[in-house]
Amino acid sequence: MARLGMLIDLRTCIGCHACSVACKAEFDVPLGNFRDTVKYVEEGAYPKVTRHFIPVLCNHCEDAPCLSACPTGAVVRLDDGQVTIEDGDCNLNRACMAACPYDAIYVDEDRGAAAKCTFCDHRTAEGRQPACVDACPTNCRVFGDLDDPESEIAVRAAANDVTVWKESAGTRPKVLYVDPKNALPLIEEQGVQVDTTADLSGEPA
Amino acid sequence: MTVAWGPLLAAYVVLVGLPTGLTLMTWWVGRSGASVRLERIGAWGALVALVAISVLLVADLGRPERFHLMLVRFDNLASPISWGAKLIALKILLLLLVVHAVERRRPPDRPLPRLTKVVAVLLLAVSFALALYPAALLARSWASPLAGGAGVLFVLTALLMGAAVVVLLGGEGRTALLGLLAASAVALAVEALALAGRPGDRLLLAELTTGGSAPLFWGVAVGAGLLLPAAGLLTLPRNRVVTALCAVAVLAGAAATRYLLFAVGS
Ligand code: SF4
Ligand code: SF4
Repeated sequence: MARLGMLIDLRTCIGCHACSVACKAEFDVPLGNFRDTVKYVEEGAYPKVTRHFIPVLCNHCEDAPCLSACPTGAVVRLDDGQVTIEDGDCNLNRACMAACPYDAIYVDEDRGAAAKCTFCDHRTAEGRQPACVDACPTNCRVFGDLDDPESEIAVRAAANDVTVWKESAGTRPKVLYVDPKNALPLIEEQGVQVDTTADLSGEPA
Repeated sequence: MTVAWGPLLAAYVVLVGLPTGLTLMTWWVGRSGASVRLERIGAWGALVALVAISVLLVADLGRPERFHLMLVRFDNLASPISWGAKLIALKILLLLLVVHAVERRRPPDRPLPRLTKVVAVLLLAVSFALALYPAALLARSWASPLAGGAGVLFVLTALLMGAAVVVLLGGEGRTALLGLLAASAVALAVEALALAGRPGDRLLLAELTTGGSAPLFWGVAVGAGLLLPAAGLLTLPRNRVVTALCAVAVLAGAAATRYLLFAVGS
């Protein structure tokens, strides 16, 4: 069994959203919902300002609150550690959404089920990379088996100081970050979903 | 952050205190020789209220037609909702048995058969579990940070609701009501002290006592729900109108407390 995880190197993320777009296309994610997105966070005061780009997604936590909250067994852990949701077993009581400290789950009205990042298990089962990893032009996302010391992810995790998002939540995420500028605490109160309430509809007036 | 549970779940958390408290308080008030009328209304009232509240819960599901999955699936016993759904179904079943026994006995003041008494004891145990259940349910949600540690308050507010209904029905619940009001005041004070002692929780306490929730907290939960009825029941113990008004105020106060436990900090 592998222990699949992802390492995101914030030093090389350029905020291009190629990953978000690839993910949207891969899963037909409805407007207003996100499995994967990139947070733009500004820090400092003029003239010493900086902008961080922080890609976020489900952390496929080792101690996944969504998994233990689900009353119907729809949230499952696959053999390689990915946490996924079985559409047919979901009755949309939203216990997983209420429990996830990362707001990584949304209601997919079209599928009639809760939905979230699956680490592209349909692709990885065929030996391919998740869509976001394939799309990233700077190779700042590395996906693989955290338990395999030869894997690129394990090598890069060992060579760098890695951290996780919202460590205090105690969920033991399997999405690791290289974050030398300490940007993750800036999105401590945020989640994967984006507040789109102020967005214009796009319909002609 | 997306708030996953909205008004219907809030209504559930508030209202579920009623059938729970009604079962426990009709038993308590009637334990030394039940008033037949109270026993009957208690059983029917709890049944009707619980069924109505269950409809709320089902309506809150995005896929109501798959409600049964919560009852027939046993894969995840770490899930409070899995337990809660099964306990609610069990309580409805037990209440149906009690209602059936109460309606069938002739003459109506004959004591209930032994088997029904066993059912009644089971019913009390399930009701007590359901009184604690909102705390277990909301402890898993980051949106209700106050609720997880508030099991005692959920039990006390359920009992207060039950005692208030008993009093409104003409039962002798005044002493119980006064005792519960005192216990609730102590529990609220202890909860406030605990929050004040933890740096992360002081913001929650501030929201409750001086922030946007303060009018509901001081005005309804504390003022109308605890102080007014305590004063009314102590100073005019024999005045029926005052007693009834105090019971209504207790209901409003307990409902407000439960709502605040659900909503503050989300
Ligand atoms: S990030 Fe949220 S949805 Fe993903 S495994 Fe952890 S708790 Fe579950
Ligand atoms: S595709 Fe890569 S570089 Fe572009 S936003 Fe996503 S993680 Fe950052």
